[in-house]
Amino acid sequence: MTGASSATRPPGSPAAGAKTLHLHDVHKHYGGRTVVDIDDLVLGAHGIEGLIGPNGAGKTTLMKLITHVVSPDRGRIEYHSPDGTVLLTQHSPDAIARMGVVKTNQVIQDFESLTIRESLLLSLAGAEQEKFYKVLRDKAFLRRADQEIDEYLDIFTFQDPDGRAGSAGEKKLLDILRCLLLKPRFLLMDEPTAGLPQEETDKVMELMRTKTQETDLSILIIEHDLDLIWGTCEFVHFMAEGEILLQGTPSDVRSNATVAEKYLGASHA
Amino acid sequence: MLEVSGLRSGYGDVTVLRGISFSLDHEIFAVLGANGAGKSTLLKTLARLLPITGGSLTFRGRDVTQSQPHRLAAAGLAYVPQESNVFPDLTVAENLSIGGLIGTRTKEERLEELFDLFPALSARMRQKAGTLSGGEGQMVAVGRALMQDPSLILLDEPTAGLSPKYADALFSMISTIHRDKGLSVVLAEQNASKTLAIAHRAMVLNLGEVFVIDQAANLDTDSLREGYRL
Repeated sequence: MTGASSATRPPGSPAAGAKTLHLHDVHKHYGGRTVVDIDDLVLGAHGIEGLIGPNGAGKTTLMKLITHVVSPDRGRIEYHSPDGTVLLTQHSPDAIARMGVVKTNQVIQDFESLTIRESLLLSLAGAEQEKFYKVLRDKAFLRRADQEIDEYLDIFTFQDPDGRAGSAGEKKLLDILRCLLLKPRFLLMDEPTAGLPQEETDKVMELMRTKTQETDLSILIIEHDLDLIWGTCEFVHFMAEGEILLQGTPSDVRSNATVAEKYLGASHA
Repeated sequence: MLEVSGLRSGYGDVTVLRGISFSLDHEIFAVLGANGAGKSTLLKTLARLLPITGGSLTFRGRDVTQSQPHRLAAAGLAYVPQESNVFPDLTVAENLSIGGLIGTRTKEERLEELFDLFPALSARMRQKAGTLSGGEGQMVAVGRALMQDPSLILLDEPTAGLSPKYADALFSMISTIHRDKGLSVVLAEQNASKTLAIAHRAMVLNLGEVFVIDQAANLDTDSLREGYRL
């Protein structure tokens, strides 16, 4: 395990050609309060990584900084991929998503007027390089899209795939599938299982494991269900008060007294 | 004071609390748990700000399962949310006056008591609450609740985001209002150590269910770590 100050790269450095996010001297404050203060951090060296920490640690803000929904006060956030290195802070959230760095939503967001299929089709069309109106009139694309959407709808249970997402769980699942259909190369998942039934949670996690094993997808998960983090992630980053305090395997991080201290307080570490 | 039996609640069709039961006497009762455990949802439900989809809630001997929030407030239950807990465009005096709309004692009498607890507030009365520091803002939020003259106060992570100095002051203040004003307190916090130091009993929630309820002194590190899934 490594303390953050000495860990510019976690153990098990990424293979050549892998996709990683590199954060250098990234700082963000709201009012007088520092919410993110990262010296050096590499994300994505392992297939599925977890980002955990107590309330107010800065986890969601860190993801928003990466996708440039929020701008840092200072610092560099680089996306390293086989295509080269990109400074994400110079690009819009939309452009970053097109590069393959995609974030699921912590709070449910849905296209209320679209059916589940239409919503998924929109994501697939968004992953194409062409304009929407051209893509959506391309019969070959629509055939491919139907097939791809059916593959997901075969895995997950929606009450009426041709209707609108009804429950909060369906909307949450739809959000995850929309992100997957954007063909991400680095997926940031912010509390993906909140509101999902356990059966669907298990399917989502199984799918994520398969995706990272069979494709070049890297995943970073924020999740309050720590059992899920310990059981799913290959590597865990522990954050508190805006800083990455620890990095390591789930068992290493779980057994570290600092984690208990930050969650429970000093006398229960 | 408060009887909670088989309480189920959540947001829309998402069930967060799955059968919470406990009783509260004249005490400081801590609600602990990791992120997403259901602490804030529980307090919002007790304040009747979220629908109860199962179980029952009794306050001071009355079934209030279906009561409106303002009825509970009038009956002596005050709630301090974790966020957005002051009216930022109103002055400190105006914020406190809103709490003082309930009850029979004069506002002046209650303010005098409040200034004994929070001397710093007396110098801030004309300042807009939105311009206060985090710690001062929390004092106004708690002060507004105390102005209701409640018998039970629900505090949702009052020390979140505060400096250790302000956090320690707030924990001390919570002990004081319990001891001196005779209030029962439900205190939701993530930081177990400082909370257990002032609480009589504690409940650890995990993913919307009760992991354990025990005397604060009996909750050791191992059981807390298990409850937090650490």
